[in-house]
Amino acid sequence: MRLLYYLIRKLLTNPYVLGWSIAFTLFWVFMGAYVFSTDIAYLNPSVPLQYYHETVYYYTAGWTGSIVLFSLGSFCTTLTSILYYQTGALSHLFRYSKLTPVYYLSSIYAGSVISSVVIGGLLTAITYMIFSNKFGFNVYPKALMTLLLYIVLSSVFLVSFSMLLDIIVLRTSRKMAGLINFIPLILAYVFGYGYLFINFDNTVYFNPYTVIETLVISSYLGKPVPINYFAYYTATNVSTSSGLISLPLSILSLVVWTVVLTYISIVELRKLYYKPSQEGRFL
Amino acid sequence: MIELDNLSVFYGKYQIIKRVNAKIDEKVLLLGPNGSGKSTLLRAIAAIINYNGHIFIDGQEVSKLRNYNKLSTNLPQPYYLTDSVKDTIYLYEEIKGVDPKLVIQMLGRLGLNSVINKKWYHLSTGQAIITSDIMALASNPKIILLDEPFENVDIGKRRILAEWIKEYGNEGIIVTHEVEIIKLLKDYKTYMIFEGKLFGPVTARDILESSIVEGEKPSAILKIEVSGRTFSFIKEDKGYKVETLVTLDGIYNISA
Repeated sequence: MRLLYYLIRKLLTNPYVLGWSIAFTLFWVFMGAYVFSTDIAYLNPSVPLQYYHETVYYYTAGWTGSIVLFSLGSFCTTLTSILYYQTGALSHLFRYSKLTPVYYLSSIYAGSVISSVVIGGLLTAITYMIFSNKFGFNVYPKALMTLLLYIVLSSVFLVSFSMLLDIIVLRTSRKMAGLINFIPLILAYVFGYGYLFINFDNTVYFNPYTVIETLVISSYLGKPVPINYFAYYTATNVSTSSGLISLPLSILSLVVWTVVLTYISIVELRKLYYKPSQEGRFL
Repeated sequence: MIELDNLSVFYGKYQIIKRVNAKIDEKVLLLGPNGSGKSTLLRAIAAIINYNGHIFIDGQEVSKLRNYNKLSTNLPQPYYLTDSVKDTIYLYEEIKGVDPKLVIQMLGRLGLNSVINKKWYHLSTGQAIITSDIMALASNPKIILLDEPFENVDIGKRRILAEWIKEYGNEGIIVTHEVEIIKLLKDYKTYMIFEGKLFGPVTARDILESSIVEGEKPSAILKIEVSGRTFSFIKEDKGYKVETLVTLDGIYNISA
């Protein structure tokens, strides 16, 4: 439990985590609410109130999905560097202490999940308040507890992904770190916006990033989101012609990804040995 | 017991430890000049780096070992799990059985209470070594692996550390390349390592009382090979007296 307590304390007081995961992500919340929302504001007098409200809901939910993804992606980019400084300790401690790969990963997962729920919950609350203020009515998340549960699931996946990236760097070369560290963040932005504007069709189920986004949006709306969000959102009237996301399938996809990556991490962690940080030098 | 069976360690294409064999069932000194492979040998035994051949701790292969909690080391890498000394003590009490009261008592005895609230990377070299030494000893281990435990440590503190090293742990390896340190632990069996090859053991006292001459002497208490040449440690009044050398580099220089 002490490793868990230590990790939570360190993660939630880390200025880089707070800066990238909260402060920088807040920038996008403001952009979504006040800069990119001009089309929505324009709709106000021209469409029936019911459609206007529904459109605003979809718009806000879409942004919440992206914001949560950006935030967790940033968080995991910070997390990716944790293992780099612990490899020598781990190879020793797995053999000469009570520490086991399962205990170590459990602590990191639990610490990250708790931190992610705090960060994700905070950003969801801020998004809700700012978007409600902008559009003049209460755009609250329809299934808040489900949304938090999805944030938990998402953060477990992203931690397992970060661990795998760590292990790839440490099993190959530290020089790869500069390239690999930012992958969770880059993918968050690519697929965070990608899902909103591109029709991925049924491939959304195979991509954990789009799965995360669709789950968060669905819980915000209180109902499954269309597979083709962009076509649906840009339709002149609200229809579900593109089909809806299957929530059980999305959850299953995320769970399978997480289990597979975690299993690989547990096996590979035992094979890790100390890699001097100087190995990452280019000059 | 630590058993080394045909042990080799490579850094890339360089072979640092060369087919070493030994059985160590008490506390021994490991002497050798800079770059001879002392720290590398300890890192391999401590499972910090990978190796070829076999290392057995109480009969169990190190690469397959799980949760054997009776070995401690002052090597810095095991303490990289946390960034501050205070957190390390807190966490290692749980996973390693370190006694926090003993750590604080030992640090206090050496006048180093202030290090508790510092980050590891803010400690001076001497402070970091002493703190690691204490962390290794304060889990009351059966086996200790101490790499240069007196490096950058004040003379007065060295004597106290030497007493603690005698007191804690039943088996293990204490690495040094300083002759002065050998004088503090004269009764210990001593191995020497040159160019990755292990020689010995003989007692530290015998080494201190001997001289080094080139060639194989029948009366030698220890023979070493350095760069293809053989040197003998003899208890006769000729050659270079070990006690007059400051570090083991002196032996290396003699052979150069």
